[in-house]
Amino acid sequence: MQFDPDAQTIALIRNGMTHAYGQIVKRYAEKASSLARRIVKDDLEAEDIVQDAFIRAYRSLPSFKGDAKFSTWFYRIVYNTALNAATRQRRQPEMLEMNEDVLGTWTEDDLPAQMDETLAAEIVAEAMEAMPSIYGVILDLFYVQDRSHEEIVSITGLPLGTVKTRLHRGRTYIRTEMQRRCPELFLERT
Amino acid sequence: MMDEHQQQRHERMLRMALLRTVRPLSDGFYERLEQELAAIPPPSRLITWAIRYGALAGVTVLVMAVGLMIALGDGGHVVTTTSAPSGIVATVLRQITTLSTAMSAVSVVILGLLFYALVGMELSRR
Repeated sequence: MQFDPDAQTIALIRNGMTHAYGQIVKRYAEKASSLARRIVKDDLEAEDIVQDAFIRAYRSLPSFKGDAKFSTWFYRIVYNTALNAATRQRRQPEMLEMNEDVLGTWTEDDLPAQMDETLAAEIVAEAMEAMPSIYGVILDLFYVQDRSHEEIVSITGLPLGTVKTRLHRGRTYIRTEMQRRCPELFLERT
Repeated sequence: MMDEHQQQRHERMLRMALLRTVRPLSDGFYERLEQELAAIPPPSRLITWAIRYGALAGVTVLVMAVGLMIALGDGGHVVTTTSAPSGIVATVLRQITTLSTAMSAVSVVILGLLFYALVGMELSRR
């Protein structure tokens, strides 16, 4: 059984101290919105999804058994709510895997050491907007939500191999974008 | 190939860059959510428990009632009166009466056992 930092808060809510749910909301709202945005690619819609997910989670708290961490359970609700919203609006998340050819011929598994942090953040943000949702979601879960591979499997229902592949391709996509935007930094290293 | 130190540094850099993409929520998000949540009855395991086992108890009572109605209803009445039809009709009615009585008794026993097993499971988990 994994240690769950939210367990105490959940116990309080179940014992009638419902205001404690505010702590959960504060803890996860922004990051959950980031996850939803990777799927629906729209800030306001992502907020609606997060609102909906918090309400669903609150209603379903009595059925939360604590087998998994609360955060994993909650992110699964956010993920499914966002997928349903995308499907309802006929904006199916891009389901096609990127061909390795699309990612260029880059094989060097490295990033330039001299890259400015602000520039790196800007390129990463743009790459995340541009890349297909199936990769953005996995990158977000791994880096932003700090989920392990196994937790990502539990949240998305995808096989472990697929999760690892998409994580690798997402990283490669970002590196390709960095190379395209700042070729001089990469040339210096050769 | 990168060494482990480089790998960690690049992972950290990517993580930091991605964390910077998390945006603050719009004004009023928390107020709207608070209003929505205030309209929902507080979640309680007791309510779920009561609904779940209340429904099971309801089904048990319903099955008992139906079984007893069949057993003590027209079928039972006809075969116990002196003007009961004889021959094959009486036999069929008698068998229906016996069968429905047995069914209601078996249903009660099975549902009762199921009910107490589920209550036991729930109590042991709490």
